[in-house]
Amino acid sequence: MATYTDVTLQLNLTDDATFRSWGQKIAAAIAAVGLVQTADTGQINWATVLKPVSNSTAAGYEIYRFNDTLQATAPVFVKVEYGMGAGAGIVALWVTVGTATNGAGALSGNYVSSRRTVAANSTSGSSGSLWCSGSGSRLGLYTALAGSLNFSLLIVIERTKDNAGVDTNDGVWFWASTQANNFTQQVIPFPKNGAVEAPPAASAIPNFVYPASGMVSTFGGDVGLGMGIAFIGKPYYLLGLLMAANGDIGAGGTFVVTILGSNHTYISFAGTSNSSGINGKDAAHAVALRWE
Amino acid sequence: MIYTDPNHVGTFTDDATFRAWGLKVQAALLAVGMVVTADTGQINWGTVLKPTVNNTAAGFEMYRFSDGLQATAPVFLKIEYGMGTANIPSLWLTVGTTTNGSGTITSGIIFSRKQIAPSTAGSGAFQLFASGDTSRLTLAVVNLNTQASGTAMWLSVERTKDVNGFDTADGVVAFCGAFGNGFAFQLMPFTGAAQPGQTSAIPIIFPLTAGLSIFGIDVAMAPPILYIGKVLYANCVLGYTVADIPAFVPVTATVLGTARTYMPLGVAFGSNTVSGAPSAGTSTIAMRYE
Repeated sequence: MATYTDVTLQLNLTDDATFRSWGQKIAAAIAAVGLVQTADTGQINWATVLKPVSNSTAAGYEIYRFNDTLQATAPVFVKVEYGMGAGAGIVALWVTVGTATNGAGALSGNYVSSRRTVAANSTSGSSGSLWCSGSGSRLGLYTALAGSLNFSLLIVIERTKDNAGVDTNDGVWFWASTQANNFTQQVIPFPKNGAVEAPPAASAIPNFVYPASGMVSTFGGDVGLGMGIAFIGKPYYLLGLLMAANGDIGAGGTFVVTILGSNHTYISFAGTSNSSGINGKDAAHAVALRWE
Repeated sequence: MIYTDPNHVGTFTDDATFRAWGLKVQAALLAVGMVVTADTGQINWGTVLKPTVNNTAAGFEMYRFSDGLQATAPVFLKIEYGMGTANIPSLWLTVGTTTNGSGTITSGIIFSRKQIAPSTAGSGAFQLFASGDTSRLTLAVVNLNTQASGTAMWLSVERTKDVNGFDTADGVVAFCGAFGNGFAFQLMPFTGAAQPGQTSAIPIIFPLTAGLSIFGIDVAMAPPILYIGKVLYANCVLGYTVADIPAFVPVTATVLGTARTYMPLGVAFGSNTVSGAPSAGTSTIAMRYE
């Protein structure tokens, strides 16, 4: 498990140089935390790629894969496309998760997520920050304007977990959200015991029960944190992302929480970005990214 | 304990049929474990008159839990009987931790007074399903002929549960719903302020919103998840996908580590009565039925 940060992220793609700088920082983060770039042909060349001239356009892609022991039997591939969002200079990723690639940049087979646009909602001349954590079976990426946490985007991809927090080969979960676009989450099931199902459509309904909304999020020394649950006929658990009442966890701080029987470290993104940064959720809630 | 009344009353036309309906509800509550308190002023089923005005209660009964936690974490349920729209039965539910002895929940109100009434009677027989024990009560009524959402009403009150499904003294949770009066749930810790009632945020992750509700031989059902600083659970009501399980045929589900029997309540209790569920007709609830 690893974490990676960068506090000089470009948030305004003004020319080829800034586009390359931004994209290379994202690529470096993904590789640094444990995912492995595949040998697919046609992947982006950061030395020569040009900033898109049109809005909402990707300039190129990279294909990554998980790197755990389950990869041999339950493979996970992640396609990351780099480009420009709905307005000039806006940073944008398009992320697709699947279980196979054709070797030339196309995720193939029945088990492919929807292609999710993950873009900032505006540009900024100020530096952005990047937080990335992961392992051979997980990726969490959050970028935002340093300090205010505006213009945020968030990606979490991880294998389903059993009730002991151990990765299972049942499915892979994909969360994508931004300040500009509603979030979606999607679970991709692997065939098992003869059962084969195409992934359900990406859902804009959260698979978290938030600690507020009529609950008591803090009580005595306890602070409630909402954990994601994905169903593939039965519940599986997700550790890559937690939800907390906005005032209960400090912005930018890390904390340790016991989940599914083990201690895990998270970083809080509470603050101004969160009520608008994760659309579709309870406005009083913040996200915390697994940070280890 | 369970109780069912396949010839339940869907409408009442006079005092006699009003009394017959109320007595059927009373019989269900007593049969599944609720205990009537000694509060004065409770309804007299020999003399009570059918309300003459819509959305009016004619009287009340006060019930309580009778488990080992009642001494230190008491729960009282005030059930008011009356009429919703013309000649259609209506209940009002209030849940609290104390009563003044004459029918008023005086403090520690958990569940503010909520009307539970169908919007229509439809045609054909109604059926009442109830289950409970000394620390829980779930009641559901529906027109089985039409299974129309407008004919459904339900309520459920139980103590919070730990991860092993055991009652805890942390709090009590109450749910209720009816087509004509929406959905509500409320949670209150026994220490601290009552939480505001919720009408649009049922604390259940419905399986269809978060993946595949059915895969191979597995069919997902989901319990409520509650927070009083820490995670707590309830198990009297589960969320499930309508299409996955035939309605009104009991099923066994392993919930919080224990196999339990549930009655799937079908589409009538779906999105129209459970706000926060996925699109209409896809998700609904099953009630604990044992």
